Amino acid sequence: MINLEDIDAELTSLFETITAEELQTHLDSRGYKIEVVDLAIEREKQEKQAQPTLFEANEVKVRSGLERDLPDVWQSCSAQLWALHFDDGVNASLVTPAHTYKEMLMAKLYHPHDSVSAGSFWQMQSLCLGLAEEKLGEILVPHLTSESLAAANSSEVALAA
Amino acid sequence: MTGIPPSPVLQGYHGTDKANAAPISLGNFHVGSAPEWLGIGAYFFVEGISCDDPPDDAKNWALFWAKGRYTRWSVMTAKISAAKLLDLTDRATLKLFNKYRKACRRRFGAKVPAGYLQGRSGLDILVLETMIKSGKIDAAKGDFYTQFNQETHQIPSRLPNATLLCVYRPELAIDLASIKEHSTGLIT
Repeated sequence: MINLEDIDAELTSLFETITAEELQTHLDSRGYKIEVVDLAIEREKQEKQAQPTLFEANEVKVRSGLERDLPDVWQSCSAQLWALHFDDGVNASLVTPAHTYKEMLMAKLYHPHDSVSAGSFWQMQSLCLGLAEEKLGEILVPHLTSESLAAANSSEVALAA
Repeated sequence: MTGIPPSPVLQGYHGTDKANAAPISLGNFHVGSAPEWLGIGAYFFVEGISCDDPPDDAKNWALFWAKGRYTRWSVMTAKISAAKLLDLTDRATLKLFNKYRKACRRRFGAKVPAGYLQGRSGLDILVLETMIKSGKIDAAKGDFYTQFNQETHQIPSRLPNATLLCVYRPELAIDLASIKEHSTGLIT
C-alpha cells in the first residue's frame, strides 16, 4: 500500500507540470475514448444543437425502464384496464383506474425528483404502449380519441402537480 | 503516516456471466473498456463498509446487471496483491487526493479531455490516470454508492454502500492459481 504523504511533493509537482497532451497520450494507451477539447468551442457546439424535448431525452430511459420493469407493470395492470382506458376515456368511472395506472407507471419509470410535464407524460405513455405491444405482442392498443385525450388531460393536472 | 496497516493481499469478489468463469480462470481478469468509478480496470467487491458480505454484493451485481444478457451468474474470487494500492477509504489519503483533484482542475482549466465532461467520475479518473502514468499506483480502493440490485437502483442516494477495488493490470497483481469460482447459479 502506498502512503501518499511520502510522495506528496513528487505528486504535487507532477500535477503542476503534466500537460493535456501527455495525459491524452496516456489515456489513449489505456483504452479511453477521450479527446482533448476546448470547453468554449464545445459549449458553442452544444448550443447550436437543438435541445432535445423531454420526451426525446427520456426515451432511452423509458426503454431501459421497460426492459427492466415491464413484466411487473404488466402483471399489475390488467389487459382490461389498458383496453378500457383507451376505449372509453370519457367515462368518469375510468378516471380512478387511469390514475392508478399512471401512478404505477410513474413510480416504475421515474425517480421521485424527476420533473415530467403532463403532456410529456402522455407522450411517454404512448411510447410505453407501443413498446409493450412490440415486446409482448399481445396487447391491443386502440388509438387515442380526442375525447379520451381531453379526459386524460383534465385529470393529469393533479398528477403533474 | 496514514495510520492504516499495510494490506498486501486482498480477497476480491467479481460478479459476472457464468460464461466468463472459465476464461477468467484460464487467462485472468480482463479490464473493461468503460471507465467506471476508479477508471478502466478489473473491479472487485472487497471487505469494507457494506452491510452484506462482498460475495453477496458481487452476486447481486451479477444478477441485477444481467438484464437478459445471460442466464447463469458466477462470483469469481481471487487473491489480489497490489504493492502500490491507493487506499481511498483512508481519510488522510482522501484528503491528499482532493488536493490533487483541485490541482488537476486548475491545471487543465478550460482545456480538458472531453471525458471530464461526461460521467460523475471524470475528474477523479484524470487524477488516478496521472498517478498510474507516473507508476505510483497499480490499484485503487474506495467506498462508493453502488447500484447492484433493484432496491439500490431506485433509491437516490450518494452515501457509499460498498467498497470497491479496481486493479489496473490484473496480470501483475493476481496470481492465476488464486482465481476460483466462489459460487454460481441460475438467474430466475
